[in-house]
Amino acid sequence: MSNLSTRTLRVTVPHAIRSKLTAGGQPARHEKIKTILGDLFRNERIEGYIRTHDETRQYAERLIELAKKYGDRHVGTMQLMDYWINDKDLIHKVFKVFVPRYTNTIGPYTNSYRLPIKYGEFQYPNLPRQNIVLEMKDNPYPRIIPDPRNYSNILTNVLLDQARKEYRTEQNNRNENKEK
Amino acid sequence: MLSNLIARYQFISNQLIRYSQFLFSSPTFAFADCPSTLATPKSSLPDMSILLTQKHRATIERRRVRRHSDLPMSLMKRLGTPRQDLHQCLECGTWHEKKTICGHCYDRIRKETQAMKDSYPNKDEFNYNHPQQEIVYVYKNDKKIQDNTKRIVEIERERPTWFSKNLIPKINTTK
Repeated sequence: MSNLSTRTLRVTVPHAIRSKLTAGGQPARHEKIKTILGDLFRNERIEGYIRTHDETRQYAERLIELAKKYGDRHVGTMQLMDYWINDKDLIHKVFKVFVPRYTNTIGPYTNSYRLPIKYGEFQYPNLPRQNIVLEMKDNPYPRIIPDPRNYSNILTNVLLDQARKEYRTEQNNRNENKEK
Repeated sequence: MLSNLIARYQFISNQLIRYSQFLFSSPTFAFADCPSTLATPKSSLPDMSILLTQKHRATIERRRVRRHSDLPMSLMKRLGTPRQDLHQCLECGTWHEKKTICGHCYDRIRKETQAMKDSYPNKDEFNYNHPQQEIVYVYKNDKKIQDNTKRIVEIERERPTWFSKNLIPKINTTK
């Protein structure tokens, strides 16, 4: 483990207490993370409870970063892949799909958005839960955040554009006069 | 007065026994008086208001603070202030909390992704021997792609109007 090193992860680290993530101690927590990781790599977009899913986000980032750096002929990375990914067909997917997809990207390889809380559905002992959507970037499904809007045709923007053009033409004329 | 007290005691004890029976379902709590069949968990639950009564009388100062002050424990502060963290969605106009995404818009996206997943022809391959290629979904109107390095899945519907073809736009660009 100590030989493998990556950059610092570019995701927010949750402040929740890790031992209270699941009942049953460390092995239960690892199994929970493994199932969510497999779900994420296979479906590329999942929903779930914020504590568990925000925790697994770091593991996904770390595995992809190691795969990018060391490749598939390195002993340590392959041991880590073997431990954290239960379904072995997904190890091939990491090296053949995700690594070429994210060669040029530096930043985080996943997105997460908070879903609206359903306050009315929960009865007394169950408290309302915050769920999130986790997704891999550049997936084929429709984007969650809508398309950026075109504000260029609003009247104030049209006037400002015109004023900017006039200012630039004036400046160019002045410079030409000075050179002469 | 005594009869009133006894009746009250019996009522509370009955409620407590029912409550404990619901929480810890073990043979030690199998009383003869209790009803043998529990219809639903909701009906077996007692009236919670008995368990949540206040034990000690609050002082006049505390009551006045609760009624009139500006502290967060005050009722007017807690329940009477309007929420400032609600936003209106620019696309559909429904209200949502500031930290979350719009739920109404996301429902549409979730249905579309589920439909796209269902249109994948071989589900056993998807779940147990995942394709080691990029999956591309092609709608009816789109121009057809011929590429051996990608797994192409054709959908017989037309592309929805809100689903743009350009999946990777840069920030601050116009359409």
